[in-house]
Amino acid sequence: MSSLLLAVNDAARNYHEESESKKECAAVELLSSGVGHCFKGRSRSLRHGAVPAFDFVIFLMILFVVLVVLVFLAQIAEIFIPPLDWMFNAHVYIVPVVVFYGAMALPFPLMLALAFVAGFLWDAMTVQVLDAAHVEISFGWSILLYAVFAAIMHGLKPLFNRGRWEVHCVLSGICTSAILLTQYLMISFRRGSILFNREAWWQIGGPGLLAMLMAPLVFWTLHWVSRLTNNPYVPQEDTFNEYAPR
Amino acid sequence: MRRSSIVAIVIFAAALLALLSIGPQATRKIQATFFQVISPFLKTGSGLERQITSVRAGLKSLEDLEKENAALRVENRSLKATNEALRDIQHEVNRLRHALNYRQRSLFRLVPAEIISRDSSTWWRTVTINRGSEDGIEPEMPVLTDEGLVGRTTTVSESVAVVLLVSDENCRVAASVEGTREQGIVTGERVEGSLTPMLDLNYLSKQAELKPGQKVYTSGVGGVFPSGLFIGTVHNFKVRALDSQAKLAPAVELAKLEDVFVVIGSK
Repeated sequence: MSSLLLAVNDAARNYHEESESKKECAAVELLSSGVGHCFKGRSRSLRHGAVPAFDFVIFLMILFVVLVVLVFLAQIAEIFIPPLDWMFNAHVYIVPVVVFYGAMALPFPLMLALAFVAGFLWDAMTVQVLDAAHVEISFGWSILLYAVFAAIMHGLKPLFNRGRWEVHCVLSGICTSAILLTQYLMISFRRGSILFNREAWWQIGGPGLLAMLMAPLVFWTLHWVSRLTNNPYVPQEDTFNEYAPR
Repeated sequence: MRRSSIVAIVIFAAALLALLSIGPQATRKIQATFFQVISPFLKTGSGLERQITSVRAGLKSLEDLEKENAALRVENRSLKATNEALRDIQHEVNRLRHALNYRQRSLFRLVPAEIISRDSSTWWRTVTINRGSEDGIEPEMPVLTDEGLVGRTTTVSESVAVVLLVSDENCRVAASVEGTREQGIVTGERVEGSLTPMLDLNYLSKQAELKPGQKVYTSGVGGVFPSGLFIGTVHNFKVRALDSQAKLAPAVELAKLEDVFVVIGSK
C-alpha cells in the first residue's frame, strides 16, 4: 500500500511538473475553507501547482475506489444479463468499458491496480478447474490481458485529452473482442483444436460491438463521476463537446 | 520511464506471477471464497429475476386468454385474474410435488437446489446453485433433474456451488447407447449459437448404426457419474474416417432449468 501511495505521489509530482511546463489551466479549483481544502469544478479554474500532493492522492484514490466498486457491481450485473440469442449467444460485457475508462482517468500505477482487480474478479468467476491436477487457463491470465489492453488505452490518453474520445470508444470495443479472442485461442490451444465458425466470430465480435455502443454513455457517465470526485487527472475541458482538436 | 511506473510494474508483475503459479486446489479455494462473498448478491439478484419473469409470464398468459375470450373479456375479467393466480400456484405445487416424488423414488441421496445464476462467461457453460458445502456438496458430484443429467459440480463454497453443464466441452461423460453395445464420450460443443445446445457423442465404433431417437445413458465409467442416467437422444449420426459420431439432443432443457438435484451418495 505504501509503495502504491509512493507511486501515486510520484505521479502527482510528475503531473504538476508537466503542467507547469505547458502552462495550462487545471480543471479544478482549490478553495481554502475554514476546515481545509476542497475542490470545486466546472467554471472555476486553478493554476497548476496549487493542488497539494496529498490532496491529489486522496482525490485520485477516491476515483480509484469508485471505479473498483463499479467494476465489482458491473461484474455482478453481467451475471444476470442473459446472452443475446439474436447475436448467436453473444454476452454483454460492461467491466472492460469501465476498466478502459479507468485507463484514461487514472495514472499508470492505479490503472494497473484497476486492471488487476478486474482480471482477478473475472478469473475468480470463470476459471475452470478441470480436476485435482489441471486448470484450463491459469488464474491470472485475464489480469495480464486487461493490463495489456488498458496500457494501450492509457498510452492513447493524449488523444482523449484532445477530445478524440471516439477513438477510445472504438478501441474499447476492439480491446473487448481482443480479450475474448485471446481467451478463445488459449482455450483452443489447451483443447487441441481450433474451430472458427460463424457463432465463434459472433461471440468474439458481438461483445466488442456492444462495448463500442455502450462506451460513449459509460464514458460520459464516468467522466461525470470523475469530475464529481474532483479527479485532478481529468482533461481540462468540462464536457466532450467542449473539446477542440488542437 | 518514470520511477512510479517502474515500481508499479514490478509490484504488478510479482503479484501476477504469484497468481499464475498457484495450483488447482488453491484456485478452487480462491473461487470458493469469492463465490461465498458474492452469494448474497447472487441470491438477491436471482430472487428479483424470478419475480420479474413471473410477472412477465403472468401478463403473457393473461394476454393469451384475452385473445381466446375476446367476447367475454369484460364480463369475466375478475374471474380470469383469480383463475390465473390459482393456475400459477397450481403449477408450482405440481412442480414441487413432482420433484419431491422424484427425490423419494430415486436410488440416490439427493440434495435439491435452485439455480441462482447462469453462464457468466462466453466460453464456459456453468450455472450457480444455492447449495454448498454446508449441505454436503463437494466438487465432482453429479447434478441431475428428473428428466436426466445436467452436469457436475466444480467450485463449491459454503452456500453456493458452480455446476459445469453437460453442454460444456470440458464436461466429458462416458455413455452407452440404448439397445446396442456402443460406448462413447459425450461432450458439449465449444461454441453454441443458440440457447438449445446439442451434445456430441464421440469415439463410437465405425460399425455403429445409430438411429435418431435412440436414448443415450451414462455408462458409469470414470467414477463421477453413476450408470443409467439419461443424457439425451440421438439427433443425427455420421461415420467418420476412424470412428463415428452422433449429435444428441440433451434430455434436459438446459436453458430453462430452475431446480436441480445434486447426487451426494447412494441410498
